[in-house]
Amino acid sequence: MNRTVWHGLVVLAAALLIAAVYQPVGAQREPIKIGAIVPLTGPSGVSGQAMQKGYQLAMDEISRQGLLGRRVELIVEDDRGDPPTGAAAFLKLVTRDRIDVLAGGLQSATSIAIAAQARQRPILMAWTGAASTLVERALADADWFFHYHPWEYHNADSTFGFLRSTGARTIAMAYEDGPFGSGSADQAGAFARNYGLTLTFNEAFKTGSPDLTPLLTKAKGANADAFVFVSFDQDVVPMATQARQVGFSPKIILAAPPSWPVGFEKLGAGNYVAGMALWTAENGHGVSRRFVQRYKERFNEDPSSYWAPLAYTNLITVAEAIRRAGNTDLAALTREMKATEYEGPIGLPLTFKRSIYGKNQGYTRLIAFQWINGKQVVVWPEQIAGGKLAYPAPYGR
Amino acid sequence: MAGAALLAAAAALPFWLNRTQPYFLQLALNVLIVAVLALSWDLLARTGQLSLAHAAFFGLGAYTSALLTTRAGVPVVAGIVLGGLMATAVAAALGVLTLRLRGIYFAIATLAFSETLRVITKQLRFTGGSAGLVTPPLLPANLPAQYLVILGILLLAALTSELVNRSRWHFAFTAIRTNEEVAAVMGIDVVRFKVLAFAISAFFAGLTGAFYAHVFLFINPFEAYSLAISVGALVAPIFGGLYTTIGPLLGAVALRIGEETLRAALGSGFLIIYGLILAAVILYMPRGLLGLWTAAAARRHAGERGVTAPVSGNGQA
Amino acid sequence: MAIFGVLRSGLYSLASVGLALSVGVIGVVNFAHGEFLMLGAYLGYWLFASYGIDPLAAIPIGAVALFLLGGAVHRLGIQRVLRSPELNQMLLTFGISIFLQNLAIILWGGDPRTAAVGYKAQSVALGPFTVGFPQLVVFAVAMTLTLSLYAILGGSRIGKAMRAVAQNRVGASLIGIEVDRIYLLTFGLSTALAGMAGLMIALQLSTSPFIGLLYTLKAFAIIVMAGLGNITGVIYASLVLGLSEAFVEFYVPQGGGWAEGVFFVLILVVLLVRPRGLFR
Repeated sequence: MNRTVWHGLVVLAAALLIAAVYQPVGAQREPIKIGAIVPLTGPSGVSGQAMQKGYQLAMDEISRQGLLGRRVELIVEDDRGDPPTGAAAFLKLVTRDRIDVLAGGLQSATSIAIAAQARQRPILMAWTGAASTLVERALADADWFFHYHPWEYHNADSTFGFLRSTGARTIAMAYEDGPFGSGSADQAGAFARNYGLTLTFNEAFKTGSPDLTPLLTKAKGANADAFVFVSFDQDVVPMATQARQVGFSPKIILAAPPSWPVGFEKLGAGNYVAGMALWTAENGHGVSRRFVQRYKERFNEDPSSYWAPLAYTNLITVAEAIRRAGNTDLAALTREMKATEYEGPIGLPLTFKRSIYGKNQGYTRLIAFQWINGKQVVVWPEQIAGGKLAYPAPYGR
Repeated sequence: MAGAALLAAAAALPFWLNRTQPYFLQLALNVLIVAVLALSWDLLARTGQLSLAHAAFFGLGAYTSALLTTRAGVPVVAGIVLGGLMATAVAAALGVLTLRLRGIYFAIATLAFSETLRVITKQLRFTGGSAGLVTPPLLPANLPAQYLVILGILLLAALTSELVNRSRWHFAFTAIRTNEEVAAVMGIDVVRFKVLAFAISAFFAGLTGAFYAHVFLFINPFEAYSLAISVGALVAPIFGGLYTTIGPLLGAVALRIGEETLRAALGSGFLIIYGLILAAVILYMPRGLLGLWTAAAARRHAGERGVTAPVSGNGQA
Repeated sequence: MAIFGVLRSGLYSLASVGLALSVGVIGVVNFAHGEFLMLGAYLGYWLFASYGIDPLAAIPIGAVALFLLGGAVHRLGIQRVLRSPELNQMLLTFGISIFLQNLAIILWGGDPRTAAVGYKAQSVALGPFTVGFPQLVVFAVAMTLTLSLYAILGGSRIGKAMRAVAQNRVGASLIGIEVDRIYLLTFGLSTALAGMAGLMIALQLSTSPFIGLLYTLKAFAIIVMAGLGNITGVIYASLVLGLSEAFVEFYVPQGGGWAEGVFFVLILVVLLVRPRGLFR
């Protein structure tokens, strides 16, 4: 090769080297970038959009207070409830947008796909989603994975703990036959025993069924104190109305849909049905009330599920950890996230501790509420109860 | 010599891309999955049979491989191949039973089959039930290699498609599609060809399903047997141009671009584009995008030559 | 259990009879059938939530509204593919179904909405049995509508024209029947029936953009069992479906999960064994 070519190659190599190493002077002033992957569209789109609203409220505060003297940028990507899209979204956030920390998360399948990617490109995952223990086990050794949402067994634990507190001794349970319901059903037997309760009936149904009368008639025959109904929003309507029709009046009906249909509050048959959730808008906690207020002002509607305050908590705690760490270095962030102690709108204290398989588990319990005259009144645990549980509940009277 | 160098460069491309823009590599991988499904669906459509069972074979491939690799210690690559073969076998059996049904009856029967598989998989403990299965990875942490695998599958499918289109099979398929009775009278073994098409189509669907399972590491009955898979597999070829090799691929890419654009603009409900495309294509451009292209080319050609040349047909829609 | 199965079949048959009409007379399998039902349900919810109109009373409104909508859809789209291969018709209606479902998502969001009709949870004594009042109402409405349809088809001029077209399109036009107009009317009628079924669903249950598919599938199962085009067979087929589901749910342990498979298996079995339908 002649000298010109050699010189050219050397110059090229030097230029590449400099470009790789060079950091522009203004690097310190680069904004802090937080990425979030949520399903804005697809079957869980409603919950994902609620999360986005929670993030917006959090960003209002964070931007106002400032963070380490730098601008903060939130980049939300839609995973559409589709694991391949989630994997691509992760790569975009990490390799193109160069985020400093990853928030978000809702469905289990997408969580697994994203986590697989995160193992190759280590980043702190402050994850609000996935309740399936399969995800917990897949990420058992991950120190950088912080999980906010209760796992399935936490949900079961709270449910049966609540039932125990009501005085019920025998339980009949029906669950929708998808991953959401089946996950609860698997845990049910063990947890019932833990709390000294007897599960006399445990059967599946198909979500969206217009007619639950055979199921409810069977459940009625089991003669249990409590009826637990794990379903989606659309199923609670036939459940409540048809339970009245077949004369099924256990001492308490406990439904656990992730959200409730619009108009349920007006349904006579829905009165005194109890529910479990991470949070309800009727929560009496001061911080919660202020959150609901700000949400109403900003979006002109009531928050319909716990996803908004959960997302808000997600972002605020991440920002706090960054603030304490003084930088966005992974090791420092991990250390500070572990030190999180936060009491926010959810109303339960948030810390990260070990769970059965995981290292950093946030919320571990649900609260119970009862529909009383169109309002979701929190009835358990006692410390945050806003009213007294009607037990036995006067269904049909 | 130049060809080998080009091939080597093409194989190296994903590895380079992985260093610089892995996001695009992942996007490409995602689109290729849909492309293979589209092309394989089209293969069967060439015999005039409209299948809604594509999801069934996708799921069968995924679950076969997942179960073999997690419970029987079969290596992942073997699992994927076996997944494809299982789908083929089931398709052959199902085909013999149902391929005498025509048009809408066949479509409904395939839909029923798909859903029945989903229900059975969901109910059995053995398959992991509703909660699903976590699966071992294929070429773990190696996105470019995974990409090359699905590209390989696509090339195989494209090769098969082209072979079919350039051989006597093309005439047989077209004859069957146009009029089965006449084809039979002409001496074409209608059942044999339809079952063959069904089996080959299912092979690729099963292979892709298994690939999906080992790249995204998790399957459950709702995703693996989802109607959306069958829908995606059929809209792409219709949009791009039926009964060709390029058409389904073009359709898959164009559809993905259209989806993303619309999603950015509309948010939830962007899937409305599928509905609009289907309606628009059926009503106004039955030959799909490819048809538009060839029609425009023919017009240009005719203009150049000064005579009106007939539009090259790709068979009836 | 038999009573529950029977009552359930009322809703099913009302949801399916429109599709049977469309398939039988026009020969179009309308994949969007469930979406018209869904729109009817939303109409019922809206009328109740905004004006307090009971879905029962809204039946005439719903029928007219969905009839007009169906007519428009037919004119704009379906009419053009009537002479095309079946594949095209199927895909067009499939496309319409996706379009309508996502339109509902865009307009009204994904949350289900329920109309808190006063007697939604009431029960009524029927001899030795206690049954749900709304279910009984829906069953009565379904039977009335189906039997009226049967009467119209048998007795009236329009009905006879429809049957003529169903049997032989060319022959019918030769004797002076305006086939295109009959197609338009029939399609409108089929969507109107779907809309009325939707109103009953708003009465008994709740609505969301996603309920369409379930009812389309059940309608398919029912008309396949009845034999494509057999209108009265729809009642029998609905009974078979309703009763077998109810029995599986009640008597089979963990039946609820398997019951979903019942109608798919039924479709498969019928198509493989007696594709002409069970009730010809």
